[in-house]
Amino acid sequence: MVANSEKLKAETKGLSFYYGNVQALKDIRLPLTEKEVTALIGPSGCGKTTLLRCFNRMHDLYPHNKYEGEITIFPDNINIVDRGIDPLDIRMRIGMVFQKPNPFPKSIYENIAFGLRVRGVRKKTILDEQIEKSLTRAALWEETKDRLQESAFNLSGGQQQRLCIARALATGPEMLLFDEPTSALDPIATSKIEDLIVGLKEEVTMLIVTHNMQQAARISDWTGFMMLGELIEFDKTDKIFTNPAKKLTESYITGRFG
Amino acid sequence: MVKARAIKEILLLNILRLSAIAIMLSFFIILYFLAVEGLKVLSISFLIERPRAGMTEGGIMPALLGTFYLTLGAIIVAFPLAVFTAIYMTEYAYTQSKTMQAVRIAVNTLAGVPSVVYGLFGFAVFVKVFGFGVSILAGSLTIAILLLPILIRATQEALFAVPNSFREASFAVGATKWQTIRMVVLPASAPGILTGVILSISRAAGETAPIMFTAVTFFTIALPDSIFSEVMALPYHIYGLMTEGAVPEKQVPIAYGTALVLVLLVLSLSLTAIIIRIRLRKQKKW
Repeated sequence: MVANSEKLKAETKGLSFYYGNVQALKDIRLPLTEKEVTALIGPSGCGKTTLLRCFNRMHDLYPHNKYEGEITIFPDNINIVDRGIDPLDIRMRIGMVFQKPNPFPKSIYENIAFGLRVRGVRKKTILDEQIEKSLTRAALWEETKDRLQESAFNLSGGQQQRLCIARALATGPEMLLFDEPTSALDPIATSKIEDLIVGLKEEVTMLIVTHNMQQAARISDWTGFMMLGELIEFDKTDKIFTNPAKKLTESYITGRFG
Repeated sequence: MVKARAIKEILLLNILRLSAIAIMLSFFIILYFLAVEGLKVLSISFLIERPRAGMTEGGIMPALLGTFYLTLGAIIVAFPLAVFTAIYMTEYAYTQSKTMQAVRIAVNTLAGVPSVVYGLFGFAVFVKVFGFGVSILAGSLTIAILLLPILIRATQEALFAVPNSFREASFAVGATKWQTIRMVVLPASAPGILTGVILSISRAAGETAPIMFTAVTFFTIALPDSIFSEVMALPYHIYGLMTEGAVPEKQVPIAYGTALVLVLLVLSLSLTAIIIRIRLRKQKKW
């Protein structure tokens, strides 16, 4: 089902995840192709966000969570969810954009500088340069270049989300995780974010959770359909939306449930 | 039917309104009463002179100074301890654990202990066992313990008020826990913590019982020259003037004057807290 010729950036194998005693993910096998967008769709509570948050070990922030199986990241073949791996190292390589825009209560400049500062970058020339670069990549530079010292809260919702993308890009991640990044945005802001994601394919591998099936169809190369903690079907996005192999997938994308 | 409901509504509204007005009135009555009596003696010289003629004349400078030192000392000790404890309890510890439940019970119980008990404790431990004697040091430490639960709670509330999405955003870009706390959580909660500090300053300045056996003396001409000096303090000065001495007609006005100074001091500190809170609310948009 996965074209072997394409290069993988990461792959989960036999991945299960538990919130305490509750199993939220069951034996997930999901390959992520390098510099492409993989979308996760499925009804609420199916585990797609849980799966996304395994990739940067966000679950480690809360007690009693448990991973089983592996998520291998290439080219170095490291198992992300291995206990011996420091989640900090993973988060240095894999960035994340959240459902609700969550800029820090700081200036636009400091929001982007944050990820560099925590890595010990102090030099203003480097910071300035990275901030311009990241804002440009996030299609926000023109709107913000004259107001970098203003509070990030002065930006509109869509701008804030692009700021969050710029913040994630500033540290040069290999992968980006998007957790329903447009669910709090209006259609115009949404389409800007979607364009941005498509443009970013040149540089990073992306995994995106979305409730919006049209969005998955528009921007992703691969789509995984999840239900009740299982990955029901995974294939090229075209295939999933035109000719899904499983009955369940077809019912979901045609809107019969979910 | 409709009318009966409307009357009930009006009745209730007025009961609520009257309660609020009663609170306001009692505040102004206290203030008015103190002002009328206290202003008779209040003057610049009252603030900067030492007491004379067996406490029947002169000013309250040593008591003002004593209260200042005791309060400052208490805050210096209590503030870091409380903030560290609150950070640990809120950001690090697993809240459901047995230890943390015990810590929470301890903090809540400490908050409910009558202040005179702290005074006795301070006397037994700081004055006697540690041998600090009746001194600024012993008094400050005693007040500090009294302030701890208040400060811990205020700090915890300020930390809880920081949305978790800020923490997640910080971790997601690769920050450590301490970086997250130092660069995101503390700046966002600083005004709230500060409000707690200022309120506890008011508390520290106004307490009598904890310093009664640990720090103060009714009367001393000497100004404190070290942290081991005993001092005068405003609240205890009032107590002393009202219960000791043989010239009440001269002492009572001084007590009112002292009370007015104390209330104004506490009030101005609370006002600072209110102003900070207002500014905080303006900034806050999350």
